[in-house]
Amino acid sequence: MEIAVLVIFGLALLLLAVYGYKISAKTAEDYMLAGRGIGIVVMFFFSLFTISSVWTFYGYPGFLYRNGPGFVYFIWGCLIGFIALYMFIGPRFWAVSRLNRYLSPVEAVAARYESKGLRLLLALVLLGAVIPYVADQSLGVGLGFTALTGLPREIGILYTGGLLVLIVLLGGMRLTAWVNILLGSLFTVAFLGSLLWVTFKFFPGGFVEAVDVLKENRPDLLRTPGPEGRFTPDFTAGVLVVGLLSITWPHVAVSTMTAQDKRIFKWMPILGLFVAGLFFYSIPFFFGLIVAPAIGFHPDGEKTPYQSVEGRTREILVAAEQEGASLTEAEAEAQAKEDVREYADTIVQTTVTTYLPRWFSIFVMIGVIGAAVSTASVQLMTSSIIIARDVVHGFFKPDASERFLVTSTKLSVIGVLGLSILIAWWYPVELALYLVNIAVPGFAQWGPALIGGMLWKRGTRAGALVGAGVGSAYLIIGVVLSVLLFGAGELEAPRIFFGKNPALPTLAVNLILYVVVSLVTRPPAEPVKRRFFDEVEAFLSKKG
Amino acid sequence: MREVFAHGAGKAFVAFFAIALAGLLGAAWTFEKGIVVFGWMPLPFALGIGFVLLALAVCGVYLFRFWPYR
Repeated sequence: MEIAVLVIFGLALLLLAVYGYKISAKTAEDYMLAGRGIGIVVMFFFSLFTISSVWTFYGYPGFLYRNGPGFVYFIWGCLIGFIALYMFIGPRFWAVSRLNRYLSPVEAVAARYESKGLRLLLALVLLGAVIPYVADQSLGVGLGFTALTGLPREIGILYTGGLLVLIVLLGGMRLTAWVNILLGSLFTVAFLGSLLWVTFKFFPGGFVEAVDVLKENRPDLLRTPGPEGRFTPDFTAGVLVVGLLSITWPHVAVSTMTAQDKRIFKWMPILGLFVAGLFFYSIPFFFGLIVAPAIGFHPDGEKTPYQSVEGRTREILVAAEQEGASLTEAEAEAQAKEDVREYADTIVQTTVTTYLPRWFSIFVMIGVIGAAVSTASVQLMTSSIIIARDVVHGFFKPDASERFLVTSTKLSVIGVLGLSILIAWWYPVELALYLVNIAVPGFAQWGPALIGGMLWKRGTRAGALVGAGVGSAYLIIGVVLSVLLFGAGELEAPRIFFGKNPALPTLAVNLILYVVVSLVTRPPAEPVKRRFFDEVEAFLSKKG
Repeated sequence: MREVFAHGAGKAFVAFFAIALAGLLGAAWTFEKGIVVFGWMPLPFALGIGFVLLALAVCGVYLFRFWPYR
């Protein structure tokens, strides 16, 4: 039955995509930026559900389940980053893009520095970072498929890939925004419903009762550094700083370009704080940190026992001894780490599938697919806009027609998706780290050029090129060397980045070089200052 | 941000966020005690919720009374 429902759901999404194709205009501006006509309600939910993904549903609660409460600092950091994006960068970025008809965020930044080289560099770095984030979505659905149906995760990865291609190819940004809201609503109902149902089934006293269970059995889950000792104070503070880098996420920055008018930037911080800060992100927090582990200690919860690496290692060693197999402690621990990673990544789906009715479990799986598709479709749109507009049109074929631009955008979708499927297949680290340790460090590399370009008149082409170039080179070489020398597991805390999140040292290098080189090189030309500062300020200060 | 820095209310608004950020960073050194607020909110979560409530009040006042892009 599960498979039939999932096939029907996929077909329904396909019909929606066909409808979107019929009603959409066929210009590049409409396809890429929804004709710059997205209003406040659509914009808010579009942004919320673009950010909220399989990462929110599976990755974030799974990471809390393994590491305790310190990881919530990433969410608080993200929230502050988004507020800063919508209040300080968004209005200027929106105004300059609207006044100059820029279609891609990279195009706008490259125009600020009058550099084709920077345009290509930023395009490639951002693409490299978006691809693993898209992979995170397909992989999450794959893991959910396994937890629900027992099918190999590769089936879920391919199912998600197929849906994404059809939605993005047929619909463009306008349909993507609407699908995002529809699926996001489904996702919210499934997620909140499952948390409340499972909580009150096991703990009639609510979260207080569940927390009491943890205080007695796993107090290490309620404090840092957490069960695995990862969240030392400086690591927790670093996680907050990495969260702040949400100001640079390209798939969110692009949403500011689709805004209908500037009032949107007044409402976004308020709505974001209220809906996301107080409500939405509390759901995965309580699911992963409190309810799912506490159930493992409930007399009726023995089917999903709480699993730590330490406990799982002991289980593996005992099983090996009983079977007479020879297994060293290090081998058992390596196996345990893999087992716990997969167990934690699917703890939400496993809990729902094990303890709630079958029909609801399928509904939750549909919610997860909604979360994956709603996020990945915007990421794919953003990637394909960057490829078509910045790489193909901006670098190789500047005289391309509008038709060529839309076609190359669509072809790019297939290429990006193909690469993301390969990375999803690989599964080297937890779902949460696909975003935090792989995608975010890449997004961060255009941060100084973006923020400095919009707010600092003195930022120069040489500063942006040297900063982004050296920061990106450090990141890419560091990641490649870490994987080649120490294996993919090294990405959890790469030694080449001093055991910190790769975003921190690489961004520091990028930022210092951007500022220093800008100060010692010739300031930008007057026409650039006029276009990016004077005209923008005049446009924004107009009433209405 | 250039416009926000150009008036007193904007400077106070940015100062609030800077102080809140510094407070959140500094608080990371207290989480080892395992404090649970109201019996159900671990401290890192409760602090964030406190920040969100304050930020809502500050943003509400600033955005609806002093927002430079009206």
